[in-house]
Amino acid sequence: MVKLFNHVILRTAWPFTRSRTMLMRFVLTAALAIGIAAPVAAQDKPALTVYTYSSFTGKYGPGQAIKQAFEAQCDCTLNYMAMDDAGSLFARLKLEGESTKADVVLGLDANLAAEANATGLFAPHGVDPKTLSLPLAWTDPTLVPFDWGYLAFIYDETKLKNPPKSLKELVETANGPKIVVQDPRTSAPGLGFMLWMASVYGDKAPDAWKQLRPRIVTFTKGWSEAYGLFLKGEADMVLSYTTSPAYHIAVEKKNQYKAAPFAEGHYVHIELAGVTKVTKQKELANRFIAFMLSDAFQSKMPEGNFMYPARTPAAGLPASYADLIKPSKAILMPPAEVRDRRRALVDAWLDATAR
Amino acid sequence: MAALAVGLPVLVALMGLAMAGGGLDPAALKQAHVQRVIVFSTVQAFLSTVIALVVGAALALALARRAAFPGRATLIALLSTATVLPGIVVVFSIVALYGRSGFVTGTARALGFEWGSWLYGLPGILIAHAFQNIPFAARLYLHALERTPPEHHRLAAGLGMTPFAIFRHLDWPRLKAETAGLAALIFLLCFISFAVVLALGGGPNRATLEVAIYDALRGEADFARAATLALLQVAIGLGLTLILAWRTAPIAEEAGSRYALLRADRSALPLRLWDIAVLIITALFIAPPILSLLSGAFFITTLVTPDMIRALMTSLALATGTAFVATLIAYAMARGAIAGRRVLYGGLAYATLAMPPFAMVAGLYFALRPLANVMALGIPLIIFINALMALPFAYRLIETPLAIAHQRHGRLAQSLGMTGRDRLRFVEWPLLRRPLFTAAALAAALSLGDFGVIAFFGGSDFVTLPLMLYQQLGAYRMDEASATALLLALLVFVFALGALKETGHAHS
Amino acid sequence: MLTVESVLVTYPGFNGLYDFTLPRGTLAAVIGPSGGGKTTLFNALGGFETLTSGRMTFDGVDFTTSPPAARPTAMLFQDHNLFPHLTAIENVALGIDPGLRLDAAQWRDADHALTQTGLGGMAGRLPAALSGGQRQRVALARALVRNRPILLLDEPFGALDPGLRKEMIALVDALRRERDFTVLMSLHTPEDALGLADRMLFIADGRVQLNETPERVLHSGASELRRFLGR
Repeated sequence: MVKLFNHVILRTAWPFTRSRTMLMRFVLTAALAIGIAAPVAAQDKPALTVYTYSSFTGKYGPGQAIKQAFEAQCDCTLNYMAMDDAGSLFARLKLEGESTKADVVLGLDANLAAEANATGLFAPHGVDPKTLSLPLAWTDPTLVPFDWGYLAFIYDETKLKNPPKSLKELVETANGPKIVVQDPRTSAPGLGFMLWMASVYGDKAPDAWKQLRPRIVTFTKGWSEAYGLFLKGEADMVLSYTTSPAYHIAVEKKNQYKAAPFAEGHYVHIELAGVTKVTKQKELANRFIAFMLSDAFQSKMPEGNFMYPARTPAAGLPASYADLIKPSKAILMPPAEVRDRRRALVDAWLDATAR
Repeated sequence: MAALAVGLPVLVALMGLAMAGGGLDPAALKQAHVQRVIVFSTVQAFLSTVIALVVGAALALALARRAAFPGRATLIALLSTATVLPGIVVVFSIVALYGRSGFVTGTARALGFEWGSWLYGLPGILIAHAFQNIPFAARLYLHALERTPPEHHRLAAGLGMTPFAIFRHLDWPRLKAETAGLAALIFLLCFISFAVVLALGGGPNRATLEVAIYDALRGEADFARAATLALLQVAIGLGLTLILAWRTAPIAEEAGSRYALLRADRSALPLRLWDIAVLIITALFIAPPILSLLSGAFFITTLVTPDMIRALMTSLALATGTAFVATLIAYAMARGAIAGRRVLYGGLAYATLAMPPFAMVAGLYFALRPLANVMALGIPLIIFINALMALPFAYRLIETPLAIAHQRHGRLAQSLGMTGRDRLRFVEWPLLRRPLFTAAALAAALSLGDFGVIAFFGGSDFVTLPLMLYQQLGAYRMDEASATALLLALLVFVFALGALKETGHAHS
Repeated sequence: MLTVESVLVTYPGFNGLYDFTLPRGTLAAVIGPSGGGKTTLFNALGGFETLTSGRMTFDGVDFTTSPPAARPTAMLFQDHNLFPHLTAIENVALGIDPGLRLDAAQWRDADHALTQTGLGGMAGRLPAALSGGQRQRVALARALVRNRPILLLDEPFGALDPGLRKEMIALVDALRRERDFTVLMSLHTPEDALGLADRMLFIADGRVQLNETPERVLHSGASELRRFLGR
């Protein structure tokens, strides 16, 4: 395939090549040649291709341990194809359509579920939703959760003595704490917070945004910028997950970072996986989904992904999770509603927060 | 040929996006928010450009007049580092200084000044853009000033020209000749700036079109919208360059010189004081955010892991490849420009910058899907796209000196039947050596600092330093991330310094 | 009288020691192998060289440490004598006021100087629109308005063809007779100076080896000179 591409490019775009451009031609050809040679790996074992996001497979994610564990029991090779994040993962799937190489897609989230299903790329998973330990019912027939978490505002209790006790208090206290949040257009938690506001305030959400606006230091591109700015002292609170303090406890042995419980309940972020319809490894892919919900995989979630496991392992949750807040209520806008209202909500948010 | 290599991918990618989206979506352009963003982007990019050009020119003049102070090369290399740091590192560096708990704000507070929150919004964006672009403007201006024939300064000294007359008759024409191209480049960089504008802008109106393209592409996979906005951005990039290219005439040069460059105004006392002030103030503005990265030194030992070493090697390999390809394409395009298609090539170099890399990959993928899996190209594709992103810088650095080389010796080379390698070696090399090395170093550094265009859509299981940095940040490892940022900055610094030393720039 | 007394210029690997006098109004041709110290001498006289020791005077006035603009000298180079963005007359006018603040009479002086060097009617041209010879005439016109008694011409006509070169040297000769200039002019081709120059300085190894009439220099049997002339 690549070889064909190589020829086509050289035949069609390069007919005017003269000697002075020989060097360049050589370089491009060489570059393409490397492209041919690189990805080929001849093996007899069946290979399972999993599309996911890079922090899952990266040095600090659970991906590599999970690969080893699965390969030990499947007599196959597990190959990750890592995208930037859930949004990129979805965009790539949509671009590839039926020709995708993915057998399993791991890392979409609930807010993308309806659009992902609309592509018709996913096969039913057959997992009984009752066996999952989610804070609310999940009935999607094709996408199955592998972990989840509550969105929450994190603060440093040595600096902020009286954190707001509800979303309303955060929004309506004129001299309340300064916060940093993510842009809903570029970040999953940012989108989640926008939907959280919409769920709590309904039609009044734009007014709530206007009220909150003066205390929002900035909207960042991603979670990393926001959390970094918070740790550098730029804001009193940052939008993250209730599980964030667990990292500080487990890895840094610091106890001062807390999540603020909000009376209205907390928006839920659910991460999903699914088997593609076009996979030639259907059986293997289904085995991976089963593995994904087993203790071997699920026990890696709490301190690997810093998210709650979708099915609590027999050993329970680690000690660092013991003191985390337990929201009274879980909020989730149904995926179909997200699909239908996302554009309008983003536009309303843009107008409301414009200065 | 070079035009095809550069223009075709942009065109094909745009077509691919439009195909994937089933056409364009003109309604996207009518949105109030999109229009507000364009207005704001234009304003902030204009202001950022003016600041970068004025301060950059002052800095270049000071460096040209103070040609031999100790640590000059180190200072230039340190400042150059600012241009190529990843956006997220720039944001954290600026915040470390001017943020609510930053050094400057903290010092002011200790002295009894309470500034409140002033950084987020236009000030933050302008500070960050000034930080990134002043050093690049200064580098380019300095190259231009150092091309002044030494005779002119001897004449100026002989005629008793005042420092102001020297500025007016010797420096100003050279600065002016560089300004149009440089202004277009910096304007475009600020116009499409993404992470920096979003983080320091404080609100969604302080955004850029690039954000809207990113959102359309991956937030909702609305390819028609993405294609429309990307087309608009490319059109703005092209239009801008065409206007500016039309307004510029390259400076008419005569033959080379047998004398050493000694500026006539180097010993005027008021000017000496002014230059020292300019050097100290710009250094105090640009160096501290970079030096703030030194805090990562405490955690540098965390980097000695096999993953990090592999990431380092991958990054260096990518950087080398990018430097080579970018310089080669820029050279080929500059040759095309000499052959009389200056406007075309200038426009193309900038159009590639206006095409968001993630939109480029997506569009190319879709358009070429029947022929090949573009994403499977891996490293070569990353190198090619990184090279396209570095192209405007490399082109800017190479175009003018190449044009001068040809004004000086072009006819001689023709009459001798010199072509290709011989012409490069004998005619162009002496003048092009420094810009080529600078361009290569800059391209390499840019590619080091880039967080990996391909990461957006995956297709690779290798990790580069910036990707590692993002993973560390994404996994709460702020300490390790600070060490990685320091390592990145050090590498970029070493590249810049290497290019300076290699070309004798430090001593000229 | 131009007096150059034991002027020493030292570089790593080179030292130039100059000791000679020229009567006022002399046209002196300076010849010698490249790297032998011709340009160093011009730079020392023009004020572009730091002297290790020595003294330079003109008509008894010491200018050893004066800045370039305060010296009795005006200098012309082979190239780059003109600022490319200024017209011919503006380039000349710089010689009257380096900030181009001229009154009407001074602009007329500049125009007159152009006429004297044979460039009447070319005042408004940019250097790019002038031939090589015309550019050097503009530079000469500027030297005229500068009105310094010593003209230093460092290979000023090296880039011109032989006919034009002789014509230009004749122009310099005519101007110095009219203005009583003392001229030092380095030349590639010593024969160009025959019949016009009063003196010829042969410089090699950083020393003025010969300071005689051109005929006597060219016919002297000094071995270094013979090597230089290729005889």
